[in-house]
Amino acid sequence: MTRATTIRVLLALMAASWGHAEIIDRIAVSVGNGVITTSGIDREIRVTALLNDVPADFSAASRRATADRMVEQKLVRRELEISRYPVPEASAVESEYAAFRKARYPTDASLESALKEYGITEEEIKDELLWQLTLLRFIEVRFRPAVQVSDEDIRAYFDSSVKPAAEAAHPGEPVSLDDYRAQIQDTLTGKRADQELDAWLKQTRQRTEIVYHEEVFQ
Amino acid sequence: MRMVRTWLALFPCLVFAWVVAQPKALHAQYQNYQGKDIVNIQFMPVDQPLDPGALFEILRLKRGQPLRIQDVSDSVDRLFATGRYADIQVEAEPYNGGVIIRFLTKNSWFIGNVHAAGAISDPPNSGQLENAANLDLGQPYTDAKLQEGIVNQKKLLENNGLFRPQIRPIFDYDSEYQQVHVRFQVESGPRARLTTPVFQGDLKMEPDRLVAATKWRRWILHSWKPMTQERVRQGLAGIRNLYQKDNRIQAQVALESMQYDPERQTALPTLQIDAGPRIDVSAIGAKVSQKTLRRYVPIFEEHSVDRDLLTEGARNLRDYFQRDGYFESQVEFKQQRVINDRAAIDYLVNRGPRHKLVLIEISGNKYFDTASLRERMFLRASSILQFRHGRYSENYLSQDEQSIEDLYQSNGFRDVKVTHRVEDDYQGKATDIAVFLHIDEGPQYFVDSLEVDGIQQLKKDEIVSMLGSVAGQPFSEFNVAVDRDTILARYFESGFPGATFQWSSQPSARPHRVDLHFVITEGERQTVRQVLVSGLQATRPQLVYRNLGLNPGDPLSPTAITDTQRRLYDLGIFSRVDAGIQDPDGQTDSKYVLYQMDEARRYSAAIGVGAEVARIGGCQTCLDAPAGQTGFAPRVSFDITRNNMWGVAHSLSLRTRVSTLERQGLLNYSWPLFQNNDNLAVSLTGLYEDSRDVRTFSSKRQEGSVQLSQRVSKATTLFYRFTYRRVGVDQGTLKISPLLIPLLAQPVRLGLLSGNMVQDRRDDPVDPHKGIYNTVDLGMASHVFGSQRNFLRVLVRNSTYHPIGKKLVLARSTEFGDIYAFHYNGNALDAIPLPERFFAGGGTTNRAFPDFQAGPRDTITGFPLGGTALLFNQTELRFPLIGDNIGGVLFHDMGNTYSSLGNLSFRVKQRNLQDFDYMVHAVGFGLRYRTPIGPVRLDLAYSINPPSFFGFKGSEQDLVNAGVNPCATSGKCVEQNVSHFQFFFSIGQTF
Repeated sequence: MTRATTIRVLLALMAASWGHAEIIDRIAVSVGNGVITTSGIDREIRVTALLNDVPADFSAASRRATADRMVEQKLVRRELEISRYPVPEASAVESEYAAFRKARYPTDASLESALKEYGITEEEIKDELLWQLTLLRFIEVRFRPAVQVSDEDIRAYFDSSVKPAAEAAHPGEPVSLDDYRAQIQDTLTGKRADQELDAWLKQTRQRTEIVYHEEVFQ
Repeated sequence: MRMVRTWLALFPCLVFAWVVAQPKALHAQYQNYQGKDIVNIQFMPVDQPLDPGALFEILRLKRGQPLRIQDVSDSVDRLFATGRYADIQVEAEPYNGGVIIRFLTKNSWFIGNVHAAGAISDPPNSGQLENAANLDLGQPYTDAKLQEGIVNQKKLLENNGLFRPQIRPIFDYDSEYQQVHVRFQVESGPRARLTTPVFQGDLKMEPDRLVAATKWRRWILHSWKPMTQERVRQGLAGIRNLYQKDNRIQAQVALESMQYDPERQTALPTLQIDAGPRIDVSAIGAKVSQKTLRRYVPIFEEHSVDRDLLTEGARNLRDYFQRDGYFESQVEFKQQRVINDRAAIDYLVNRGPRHKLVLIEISGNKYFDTASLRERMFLRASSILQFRHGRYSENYLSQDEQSIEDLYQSNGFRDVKVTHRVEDDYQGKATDIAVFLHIDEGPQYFVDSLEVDGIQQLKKDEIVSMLGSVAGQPFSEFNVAVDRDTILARYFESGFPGATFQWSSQPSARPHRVDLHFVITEGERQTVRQVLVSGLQATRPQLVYRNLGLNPGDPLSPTAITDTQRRLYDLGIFSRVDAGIQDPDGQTDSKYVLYQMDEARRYSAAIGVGAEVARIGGCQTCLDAPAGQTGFAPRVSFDITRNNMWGVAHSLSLRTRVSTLERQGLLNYSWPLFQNNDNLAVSLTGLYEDSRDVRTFSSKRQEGSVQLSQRVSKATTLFYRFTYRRVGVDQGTLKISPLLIPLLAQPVRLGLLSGNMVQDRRDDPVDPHKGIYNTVDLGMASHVFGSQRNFLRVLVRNSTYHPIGKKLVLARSTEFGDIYAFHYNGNALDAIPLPERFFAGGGTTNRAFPDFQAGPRDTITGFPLGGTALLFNQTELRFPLIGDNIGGVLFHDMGNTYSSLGNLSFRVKQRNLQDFDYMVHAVGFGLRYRTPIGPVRLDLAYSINPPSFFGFKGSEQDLVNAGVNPCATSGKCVEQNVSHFQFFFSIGQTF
């Protein structure tokens, strides 16, 4: 191969690579008639990483796990829309966001730097916080009212978990169920509501046509 | 230099590796293009399932705007939501400092025609296999759905003993409409035979008895029957029934497994049985049959015994006794524990004295009159025949209170209260009770104002004009619910499937008035993109297209889709018409509407066997019994029809009927939708008939006719008909004076042009209570039409039905007819041949006569000669008699068939034995038993003035030998008369 030929080949290859069209987004998972795109997964990883203050992990396993989580989000969002559940206003997250900023990024410069580092916007953080708030409200309205916690349940939990821990923490001091009743009630209600949510998600997954485009997660 | 060369040699490889590696780093690539101007937006492939206009409307991306990945993601989401795509990728290509965005799409497929064919051993039939596939028309197609469908089909086949099926799906892709038609090629294989079942569990019975109860083994032959799903089900039911008969109410019988033996080709059923104890259910304190107990105590039906079911049984028995007049009855039950495989349930009945509900008094009602309230009530005061003890139970009473409250509330009386008082020993009579219902109506609430928001794309005035909850009208939630249904129905019909309705109310400034506010959210309007039809084999597509009530661009109306489906069914050429919307959940405004048809069998045949019992008997060759004798005529029939000829819904049918009274063959060519008009139909008919339903003669008729029917309105239909026929009388069967034979019994050819109108405004054609039924039949036979006789014929009937109060119906019917001969030779009365004359009398005209025995008779033999005019009037008073299903009728019939219109008379006395032109009256009583196909009718009539006449005692030869005036010379003419008593038994009201 002569030098001229080599250069021509090189130029052609470089031109090809510069003019080459790139896939910038595609369907990763379809959930009913909605989709989760690769860019959506990417964004979710970045936002979650920033909120958790960890480096963004774009490994296949991480993307798969994120996709799973987003599928659940989709199912909940669809249920919210179909059943017309009340959703919080966008402004409802302002206080949460302010608290987050104060704790993690007290100055504009630090926030700006973090956003740049993770490649996301302030709006995307607020959207994520709003989603978390929406999910909590959904669980509150959809599952909590149906949860029943009996006195026996409270006593069993007290005997098995709270009492040993309290006695270990404060040796010699008497531990009364009444002191912990409200707290245990809340804990058990929350746990059971979560279980109800999990069961509902499982059923809804079975009812919904969910297709993973596996090539995206290679 | 060497190093440079080496680097140059490696460089292409590195660049190539870099280019190839590009797609691996997907997660960050879009960031290279963020903010660059979009130079162009392209789609690959260029042909897209959505219109370009719709496509670019869906996209969030716009040319000239900077690229945002969120817009790309949203665009993908919105494109996918249309349902038209299975996969979407988005490419970016740098171009002139900007970026070209390219959507690479892969279309999705939707389920089209699903068909099962091949060597299918029925059962299951191909339709059941198609249903089992569960591939619904228009739904998105996926491989998973197909595999699930095949599994279901195999399961269905296995349930029917077909354990070695081969199912192969064959696909036919219609890429233009993204439809995939699936044909399942099924080889069902041999059917396994059942074999001696294995019984597990606590049988408490000899296995042989259980095997016999299954009826899976052939009687005498002792071979096992082939397995089918129905046979297995019946077998299990047989065992359950056996246990039931043994009072083992709780017996549980379940099919545990079905084991297939491919070598012996048998299916071995294993049944899990828990016989349970014998439970004797009895009533103590009152005589109650086991049949009644089984009817009212639900443990027999549920195969389970628990406290709830036993309590329900006690309640049912109490209601049963209360309905029978034991209004104070109390029923309790006592359940004994199982001892030695036996348990007992005793219903302890304390009936108390038998009462009669003599009075139901309603007070306090001002808005509704008492009659309006009573007709909604179950309670009934006693009456002589219908409810001897009245109808009363606590349950009925509370239901009546509730229904009265509901009625008031739906008319704005929101605070209505209905209370009751039951007075025993009413007016001192120990068994009588009276029920006093008092209604406290309270104030009536009205709508003060109605505000309707959200109607933008439909005409608000039109919708509001249909509402009931407008200003000034009573306010109730029921009325609002009706309005909601009205509004939403209108929106759905107009293509707004997502329309929603919300309402609120608040007290108005004025008392007992409310301000209403309706809010409608219209949602997106959907239209018909195109109507796709599949499944046509022999049928011409044009026939289907002409009957589609939907066109591209029309609103996507479920009503219109269903109407079209009904119209296609009404063509009578499809055994199945499935309708669907392609991808109904896809978020596009323009939808394909799909119709998938299965054509009915080309040929249909029917064989019938029947008999008639009436006054049709008597010797065929002698002259006995001119007034008829009770006789029996067996009948067989065979019909065959070739449907959907030429693929245009025409049909050709042959109907044959043979009995001792007639032989008939009828060939009919039917042409519905004549001139593509729903209301027009043409039929061509050829008829051969040899009948002796009139006892005087046997006639032969060869006839050809053409008829156009026109449905003018829902109630009125016109028929235009031309008939050409040859009628002849079998001379050997004639039972009239030989002198008359040349006049009345000559074979003639008739050309008859006629028109017929039927107007039916009855509320129920089978058992009318109000309305009108009219028929007018006008015809002319003339030599112009090739007729050998010339006459005009008119037959008019008018029936009306008048409700009297809530229970009685006065029904009346008048029929008039005349045949007027013209351009004849000799006597006008002899110009009409026997088979063309009016023969009447019987259950539908005048019950004073047996069938066809009214009117003029041969003065020598006494056999009916028919007439040329008729007038009949029937009046019936129809009333309920016993319970809800048995009714009674009192009737009066009058009229006759007359020798001519000039001789028509209302005279009630017969002048002499040759006089038949007088009016015969009959009164009588009838019973009607209500059935789903109409009332079964039994009428007993008493004829007040039946005709007397001379009958000839002797044979036909004696008659011939007797000369010109047999009555004067032979002495065989004796006076006879039509019986005073007649009976009629048939189905349907008289008129």
